Amino acid sequence: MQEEWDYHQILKAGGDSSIIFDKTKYKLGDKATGKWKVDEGFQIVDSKSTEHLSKPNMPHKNGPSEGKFEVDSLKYSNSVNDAKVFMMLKDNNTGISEKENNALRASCTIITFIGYLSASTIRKGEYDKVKVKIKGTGHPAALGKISGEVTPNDPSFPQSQTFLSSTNNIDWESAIFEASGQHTFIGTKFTANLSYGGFSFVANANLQGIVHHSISFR
Amino acid sequence: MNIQQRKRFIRTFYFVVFSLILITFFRHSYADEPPFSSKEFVDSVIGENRSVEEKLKIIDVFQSTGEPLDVNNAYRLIKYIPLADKKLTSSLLEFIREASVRGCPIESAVVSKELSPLMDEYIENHEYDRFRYLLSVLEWVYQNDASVEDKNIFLYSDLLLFTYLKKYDYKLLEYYLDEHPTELPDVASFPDFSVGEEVADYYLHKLDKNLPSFTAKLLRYINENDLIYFIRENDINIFVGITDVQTDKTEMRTIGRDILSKITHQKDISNWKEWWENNNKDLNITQTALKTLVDKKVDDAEKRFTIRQLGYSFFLSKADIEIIRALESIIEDSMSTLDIRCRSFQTLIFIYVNYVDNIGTENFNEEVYKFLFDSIVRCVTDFLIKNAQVHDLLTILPGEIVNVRNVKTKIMAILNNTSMNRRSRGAAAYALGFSKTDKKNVGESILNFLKEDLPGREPDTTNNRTVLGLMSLTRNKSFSFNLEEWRKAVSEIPDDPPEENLSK
Repeated sequence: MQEEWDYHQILKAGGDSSIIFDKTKYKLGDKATGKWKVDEGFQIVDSKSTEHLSKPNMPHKNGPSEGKFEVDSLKYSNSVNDAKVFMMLKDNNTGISEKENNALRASCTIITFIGYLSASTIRKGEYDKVKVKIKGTGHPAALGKISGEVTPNDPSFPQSQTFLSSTNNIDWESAIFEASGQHTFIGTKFTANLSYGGFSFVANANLQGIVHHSISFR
Repeated sequence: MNIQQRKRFIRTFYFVVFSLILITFFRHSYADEPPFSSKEFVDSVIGENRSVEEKLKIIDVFQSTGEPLDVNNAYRLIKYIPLADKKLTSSLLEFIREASVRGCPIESAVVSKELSPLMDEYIENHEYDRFRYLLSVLEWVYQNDASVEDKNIFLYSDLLLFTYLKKYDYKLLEYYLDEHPTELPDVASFPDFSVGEEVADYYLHKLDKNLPSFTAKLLRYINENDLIYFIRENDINIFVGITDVQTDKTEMRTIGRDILSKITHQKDISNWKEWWENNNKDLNITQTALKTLVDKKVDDAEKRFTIRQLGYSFFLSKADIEIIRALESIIEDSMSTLDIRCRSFQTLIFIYVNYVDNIGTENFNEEVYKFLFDSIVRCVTDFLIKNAQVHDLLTILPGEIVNVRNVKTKIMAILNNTSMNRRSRGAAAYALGFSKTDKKNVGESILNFLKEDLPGREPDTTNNRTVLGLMSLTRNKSFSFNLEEWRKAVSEIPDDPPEENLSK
């Protein structure tokens, strides 16, 4: 009998935070309104719109909280990629603060972005090779491709790998990390630093357990 | 205006302002209500009364409200996707993916079945980007599919793509080789060796000397991943044929020759056809690899290749005990480099964890198992435990090995040795998480190390491993650095029953 753990973490940005913005009700030049909601444990640190809108007036509030925002100069469009509003959230649980370093940007997530980072040994029983795969969705394609870097958080594995999404939407490449003969990736945390459209954020996953391999036999 | 009139005016003014505020508030509160229910939304999209533009707008509005989609209506929408106007397809797929992400309990098997006509259509029309996008949507749905426990996203993606690769000609494979080679199904991704062999067989039989450009790309792919280790005596013909092509397709020939040289361990062969005619009866890839492994003149790069080749040979040939013996001899050989000794040890473990899958099948042999088990135990006590710089490899020990009395005692000594480096102790803590007996004592030792090591330190690989050890020992699936929680969990580990003995 064999027992394995294989954890793949899904990283959802911002808990139940949300933006509701029905742009179809308005026409060019209107002042449009929407609702924002920030969940407990997160803070709004910035907000942004696509090019046809002014910056939304969202407060830098801690969750749980909710309210309304306004944007000017709406350009009406049927395109799903047009005229969107975003807010950037800081995850208070990461413990990264603005003052510590330039990591504020890195600690922000964009509310409409949901991504995951998963990793697995390349083959059962081979713990010196890990395949890391990153996926994201919900981010505004209008803001362009995603670029980023995946780094194993362990000085024994100094190498990192860069990513550039091949389309403006969801798919990013996977990468294979290889250790030297005397090291294994067990317990190694992989971090993906990703950015697009002027925003940056960290999607990180502590990949504990992915190569945790327990066998009980007879 | 007298004072009374002024007061009345002010009261009226405030009343009007307050009323306006209330009206505005209610208008705004209800203004964002979704315009459709789930059913109305899907009816509108799949109905024939609206134009494509109107439908796009409806999808956009419904999506922007964040209104949840119920699963029955989601399935209605999914069934409609292959039939919908092509201008709608991307928006609908995007919508389904978002719905799954936002908690709609869509099952990936249903989506895969309903969208398979669309997948075929994309491939037949050579719209490979769209096909790949659709695969990606399916992956998302799978990732969020609550009905699938213990997800393996890599395996899911590989199997899905492999189904389509097998079904179609080389063009789809060529697209992935050109654009996204890391997404191709990797023989290494399949836990079952027989599936891995099937995948390898697929790639090897796609090689075609009449398609030199494509074949060069595929050869490069084979040369750069574990596929190369699957090449056996019966496959040599394919490669000899490629190298024998009398054309100017140099790249195909060069890579083909490189692969032949690696797998046969033959250097400086100018005419592979002639060599094969002279050696096809005698060639034994495993035996050649075994000789290469112990050849002092062979450099480490070739040895690394040989070690991995032998790991696969264990399952693909019948030279099992010879392979174990050869790997053990390298591990015990202090004249070999540390890297080579470690890789040999890792390969023994690789063989072990895959071999135990064969239990109960005709591919399992009790004597071979015992030989393998004893060999690993010897290597652990004689090599691994004695070399602090390779203690990372404690983390790859199978539970049965850790629970051998002599092995466990020595690993406990590493964990409890306060003058030992913390990385070694963390690796020991991880390994001891597999303890079957004396769990309370082990738990207290691991906890003591965590208490000593964690304060004032950012979580890193070492204390991740320590926590993983505690998780394994206590069967607690919550990853945490809270010492109080671990103290409680360890205190709740029951004492061993007195009659229970160590497993070995």
